[in-house]
Amino acid sequence: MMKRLLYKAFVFSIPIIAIVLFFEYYIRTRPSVYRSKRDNLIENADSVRILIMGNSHSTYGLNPNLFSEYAYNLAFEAQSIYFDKALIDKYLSILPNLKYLILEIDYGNLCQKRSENRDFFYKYYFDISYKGEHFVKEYLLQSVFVHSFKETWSLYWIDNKNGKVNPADAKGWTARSTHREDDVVGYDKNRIVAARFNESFKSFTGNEEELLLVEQAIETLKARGVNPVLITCPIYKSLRSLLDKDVTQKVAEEGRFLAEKFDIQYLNFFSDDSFEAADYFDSDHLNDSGAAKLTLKVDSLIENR
Amino acid sequence: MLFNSFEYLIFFPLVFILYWSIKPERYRLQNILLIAASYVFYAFWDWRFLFLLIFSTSLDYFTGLKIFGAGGNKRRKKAWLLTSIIINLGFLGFFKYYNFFVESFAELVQNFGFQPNIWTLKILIPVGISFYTFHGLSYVLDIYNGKIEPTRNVVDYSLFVSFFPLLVAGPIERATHLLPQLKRPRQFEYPRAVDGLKQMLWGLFKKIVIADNCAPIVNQIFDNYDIMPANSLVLGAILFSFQIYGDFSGYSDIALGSARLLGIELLRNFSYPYFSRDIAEFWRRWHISLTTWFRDYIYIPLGGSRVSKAKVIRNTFIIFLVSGFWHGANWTFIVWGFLNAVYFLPLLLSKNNRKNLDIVAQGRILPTFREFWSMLATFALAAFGWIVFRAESITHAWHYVRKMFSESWLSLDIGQYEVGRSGVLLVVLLIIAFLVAEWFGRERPYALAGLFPKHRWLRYAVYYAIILVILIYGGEGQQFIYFQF
Repeated sequence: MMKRLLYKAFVFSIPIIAIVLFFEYYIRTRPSVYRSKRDNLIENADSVRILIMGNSHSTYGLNPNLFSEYAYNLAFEAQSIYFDKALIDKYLSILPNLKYLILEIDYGNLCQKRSENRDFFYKYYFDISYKGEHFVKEYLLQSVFVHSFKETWSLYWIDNKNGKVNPADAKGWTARSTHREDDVVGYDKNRIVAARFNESFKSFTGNEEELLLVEQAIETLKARGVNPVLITCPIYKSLRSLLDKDVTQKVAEEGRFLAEKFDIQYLNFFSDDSFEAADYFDSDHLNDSGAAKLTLKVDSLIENR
Repeated sequence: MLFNSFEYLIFFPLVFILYWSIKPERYRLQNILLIAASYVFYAFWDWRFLFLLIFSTSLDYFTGLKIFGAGGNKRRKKAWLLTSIIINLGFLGFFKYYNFFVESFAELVQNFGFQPNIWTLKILIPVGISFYTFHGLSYVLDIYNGKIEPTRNVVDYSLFVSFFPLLVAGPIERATHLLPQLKRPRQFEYPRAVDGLKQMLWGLFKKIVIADNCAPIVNQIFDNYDIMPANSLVLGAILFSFQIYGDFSGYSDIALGSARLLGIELLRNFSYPYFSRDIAEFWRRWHISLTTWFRDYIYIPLGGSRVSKAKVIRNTFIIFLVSGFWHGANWTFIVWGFLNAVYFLPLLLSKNNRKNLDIVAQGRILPTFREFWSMLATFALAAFGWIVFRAESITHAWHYVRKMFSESWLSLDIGQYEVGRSGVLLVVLLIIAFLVAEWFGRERPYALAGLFPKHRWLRYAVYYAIILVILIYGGEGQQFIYFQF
């Protein structure tokens, strides 16, 4: 009787397993931002002179195509300092001409330990696991249970409509041209976003692991003759004014402290009001035009050229 | 280990196969397997608290024997009962309520101008402590009251306390109901097993689709109530009502389904509470195992409703306040309990509390106009209570309610949501579909039970549709709300 149940349950599950496997295969073979950034970096490793690391602020805020030297953007959404450092350790040796490494520090990555549900992607695409953690579950079922079936499902239909688009260009740039007016200037929306950030700030003590990792990364880079440049990207005033000032000031202090300690540059654009509402995708991220502005500024400010 | 996790997807079938691989006549061996599985299940949260679980089990097993052994010696019996109650509630009080009492005391003396040097602890609450403590207490109280004899088999008793489907969030079982099932061979029955699977599927739907999709919207509304329009606050209260129902009754369904697959029947915990016609009926249908626990072990010993009016009022308030306090160390839960006592009391005093004992619109497709409005009014009362329950503090609840009633609900401004307005609309549509399914299933133990008995393919189509909806519209995985209690 039990065997009958198991058999019937198996037969019943076949269509479900088939659907799940189809989407699993789909998400694994679909061009992903991680895969294209990784492959393009390896392919162009000899040319890279400026490497951009950080989270979504740098991902969408620094356009490598606009630097005066060959730049490459290896920043990813919600990338924590842990993975910045791990990626530096992994790829530094294959970048013989690397001269500058732009590393973002901000209220996002200094207040987070890991990249949460994106951790798996580092294991899958870069063979980097958070503190050596095992990802058996995620490795077996990336799309359906980690990437989420829901997301995969919607990606499938978007791709069906628009065709599979490579998310990053040869220099690791992912363009975001739109401007969401309400997300940039809307008070209510920004209150909600700020509340979420301020909640995450509660774990921020302003030093500890993340800063230590930044220091180690700087030391590694300097030992290799690469100039680290720390950067904090601009945030629109509608959101900035609602963020916990103690934390945002502390981030700036940490940046200045590291710059002094290691004699490196810290470019803080956090409160730069030359970026107007139209330069933002939402209040937290620049769009293409804002990225162009920021990139040109950074390019002109990088020292020791 | 969460029921809606990958771990459980591996764990449960493994336990199931091993369990039924053992012949039914060797049910003691099956029990040992279930205890081992239950401890593994529990250790997934924090293996250190296993010692507490084992201690609590040993305590009640031992005191149960002592109470029974005292025979006619009432003083000894009482002494052992008190020992068990004091230690059980002592642990519960320490882990769950220590900081609450210390902080409340400090606030009180501060009002008199003193500055107390308070000493609070960072205490991690062991998952399920309220549930397994109540299991143990019901056992010793039943022995004390002569309802049962203690079990001498430590394996049977340990399994009664730690059986994994009910270990962390109930239902709160009774020794009179569960123990006899553990003391006899259990036969594998195909229809029962299929029924268990269906109930698990329905529970997963409630949890993953209904509760987890409501959660982000509810969190946003409650966290930002000061900038949300009044109609959003109403929406927040409604969605939280479905979140907590989907979450907790979904958990119970998975627990009951898992146990049924192992040949064990657990107590029913929910019976379509949002189709209740008054608040008394609501409390007969909501978290039934806890309500009946309080009824049997507190309300009735206090005299129940067969005492003077003043005492009935006292007893009603006691049971609801204790029920509120059971949920956690926060004044919000106590006020929620108080509010429900206020709702309940007029019905009790006017002897209308047992007016609606049947199933609403039984044998009919639609309710009468009167039934419909009664259900709507009862839901509104429950949802209002949930505001206090969900709020972080009394002040939070007060501001929320004040804002909700200080503006028009008919405003065209319906608020901004992180999930977008289409996301909110989708959740509302899912809830409507869920309510329709529950309405048509209200005469059955759960909505999927006995569905289309003569139309196999239609039945299968429904199962596949539910699985696809879970996969496609499932919300972000959230912890079960009742784990914190």
